[in-house]
Parts: sequence; structure tokens; C-alpha cells
Amino acid sequence: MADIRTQQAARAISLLGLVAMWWIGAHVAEAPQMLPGPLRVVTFAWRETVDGALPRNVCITLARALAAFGVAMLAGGVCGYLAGRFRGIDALIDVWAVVALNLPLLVVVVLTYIWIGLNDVAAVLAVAIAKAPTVFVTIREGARALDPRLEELAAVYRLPFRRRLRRIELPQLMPYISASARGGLSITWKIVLVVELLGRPNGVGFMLNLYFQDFNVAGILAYGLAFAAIMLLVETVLLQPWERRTNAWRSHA
Amino acid sequence: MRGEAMLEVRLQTKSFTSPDHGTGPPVLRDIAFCALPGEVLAVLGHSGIGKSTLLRICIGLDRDFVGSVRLPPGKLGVMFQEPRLLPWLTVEENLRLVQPVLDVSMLLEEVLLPGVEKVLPSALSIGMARRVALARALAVNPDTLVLDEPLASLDRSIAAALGARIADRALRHGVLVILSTHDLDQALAMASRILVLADNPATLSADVVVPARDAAGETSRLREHLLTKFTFLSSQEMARS
Repeated sequence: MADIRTQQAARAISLLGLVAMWWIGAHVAEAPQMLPGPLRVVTFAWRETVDGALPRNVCITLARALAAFGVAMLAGGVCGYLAGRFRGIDALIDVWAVVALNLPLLVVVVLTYIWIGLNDVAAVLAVAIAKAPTVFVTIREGARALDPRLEELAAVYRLPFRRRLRRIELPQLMPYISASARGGLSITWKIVLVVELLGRPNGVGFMLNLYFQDFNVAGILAYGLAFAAIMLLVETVLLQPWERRTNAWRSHA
Repeated sequence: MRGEAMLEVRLQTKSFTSPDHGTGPPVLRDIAFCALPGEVLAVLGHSGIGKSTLLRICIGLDRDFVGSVRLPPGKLGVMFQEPRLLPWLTVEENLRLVQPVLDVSMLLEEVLLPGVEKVLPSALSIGMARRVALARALAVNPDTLVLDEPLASLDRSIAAALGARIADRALRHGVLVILSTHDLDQALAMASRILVLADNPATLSADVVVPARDAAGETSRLREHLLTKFTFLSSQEMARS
């Protein structure tokens, strides 16, 4: 418990240090159009919040990011598990994964918009296609590393598939799943911004494009940092406690 | 019905195969025996001779051999040489993994390990973890019980008590028990039959019936006979004394 508090304190101090550096940088630069200070950005964000634009666009982007993240984790996770367990399936999927991993993001986004249309389904699908291969590769490694001795245990006691998956395999895969999830969420929302910038009429990506055209750096920073803060909150409030709970047994080992 | 269910092992050869070195020399050869429910078979041999391999063949985990094995139908309880407890589950959850509906406290009493239901395996000594693994094998109420070195790492008194309980369960419930050990006295105390593996590759060098427990003199004579015939047993005896 003391360790967790120390870590949280260190994170808070680090964050304050970042804000302090920004404030000093803005003060030294004396160019509020190029690098506005923290207070100016917070004031802008507050105005946009009162107006309702910032919460609305952040929610839209968050919904797209979470939907794409869910699809990528599910599709990449299931395919990765199957490929790690069965060589035949691995041989079938591996080439697809290599192609998908090396396909430029812009190609995926543009093609998805052309084939499906400029809508949310295409946006979410494009992000999921871009993210799923990395989830696939990570979970496949986890499935390959499953302990064969525990597999024998499940075989001799003829454990049903669901119990075997829940009690034996998922706990072994958990470090790989949480690595995918933590890395995945941060990458996913960045991809979502690109997708929104290219073909959606709302969301943080759309707003960033709008303020870029006005050279409004305060607006760009306000939207970018507001969304980053929400993702940090998701990581701190949801992902980290979940990871700690699933790995609690390791601290006793 | 149990009387009809018989274990039949007809093993001609067993070798290990690896992708780099191909098929290696045989480790087991010409091992044939049958066993009926209610019997306690002790597979006796020195460390590394292939006792665990023979048990793995018996329960179908190793199919890479020449010959045939027929395991009796019904429930199988297995205790591996290492405990194989799931470290993320408590003792109780480990037992319920194989048999969800279970009187856990009673089962732990049976293996002389009361009060550890909520403990994680990492907090157990190796001897305690092995007893939980034994409890897990008993949890399914098995028709066939396969135990790889079940009493290793245990105090003599606990080992003796558990050995007696296993033998008693076989007799009372008609369970076929196959266990491996390198300890002649444990084999004599628990088993109704002893199969001795010896030579290289290991073959079935003796298949002897252990006299009933009241015939103490006969058991002693059998002990002397085996000690004289198999040098690895007499070496162990000398090392112990």
C-alpha cells in the first residue's frame, strides 16, 4: 500500500514538474501565439467547456476510441489466442498479421473511408484494423508461453473448456492482455485523432484541424491536453487497479 | 462393475524423440502387466529409471511408444511428481477446480492438512503443496488413482499415515492405485503388488505380490529377497543406515 502511495506521489510530482517547465518555457519565449502559458490554455479550455464544445467533442472521440479499442482487443485477442494454440491457424493468420502490421495507417484510413463511407463505422473499423495486429502478436506470444504442465493437468481432469480458459489460461495470459491494453489505449486514441482529422465532422481530431487552420495554439493545446488528461484518468482509475488486482498473487509468490 | 475394469499395459519399447536428435535409445522395454480395482501397485525403481514415464504412458499423457495401454473407464485422479498447483488460486479454489461441489475441509483433514483453505500455494512448504495435490487427486472420487512419488518430501510419520489412508481407500472403495516410489519400505507398507523396474533400458524385473499386513514374517522375507536381488535397493538401505 505504501508502495502504491509513493508511486502516486511520484507521478503527481512529475506532472507538476512538467507544468512548471511549460510555464517557464512560455514565460521565457514571450510569444503567447506560439506557446501560450498554462493559465491561458486553461482559460480557453474552461470557455470551451462552458460552451459545451469541449465535453461534447471529447465524449465523441472517447466513444470512438473505446469502441475501436474493444474491437481491436477482441479480434486481436481471439485470433492471437487461436494462433498461439494451433499451428495451423497461426500459419493461416500470420501472413495477414505481417501485412496489416506493415500497412501505413493512412492507407488503411483512406481505403476504409472509400469502401465504407465517411461514417463512424468506417472510423472505428480503421482504428481497429490499425491496432488489432499488435494485440494479435502480443497475445499470440502469451498463448505460446502457456505452461504445458498445466495443460496436462486440465487434460487428465477433463476440465470443461470454459473452466480451463477462465481458471488456467486467462490468468497466464493476463500480463500479455494488460500490456496490450495499456499500450493499446494510448495508441488507439492517437489514431482516432488522425481518422477524425481526415473524415469526421466532429471529435477532438476535427477540432484540432479547425484550430490548426486558425493557428490557434491555445485551442490545440486545450483539446489535446484535455483528452490526454482523460486518458491518464482512465489509466489511473481503471487500468492500473485492474492490473494490480489480477497480478496480486504474484506479490505473495 | 469395477471388477471388470482392468488396467492393461503391453509396452514393447519407449524412446524419446527430439527434433534435433531424432529418436533416442529406448528407456523402457518389455513391460507388461494388468491390474484390477482395489489393487495398489507400487512401481519401484531408482531415480531416473523411467517410473514417471511409465505412469505418464498409463494415463495417456505420453502416446509416443510401441505397444498398447488400456486404462479402465471411470474417473481418474492424478498426482504429478511436482504439485502443479495454480499459484493464483487459493488451496480451496485449486481443489474446486477439478470438483466444484466438494467438502474441502473434510478432504484437507484426510491429507492431514486442516485449515489451509484460504492460503495461496506460495505460502505452503513443498510437503504441504504435495499434500494439496494429493487432496486434488482424491477430490474427484477417482476409480483410478495415479500417484507419482506421493510420499516424497513428507515427514516419516505423516508419510506412514497417508500411505495407510491411500491403501485403505483402495480396499474400501475398490480404487485401483498405481504409485511410483524408490523407497522399498513405503512400497511394502502401501502396496498389494510391487513392480520393480531395473536394467538399462528399464524392464519389468519383478512383479511380486505383497503378503497381507498380518503376515509380518512373509513381508520381511520378501523385503530381504528384494534387497538381495536388486543392488539399487541395498545401496539405498546402506545410504540410509
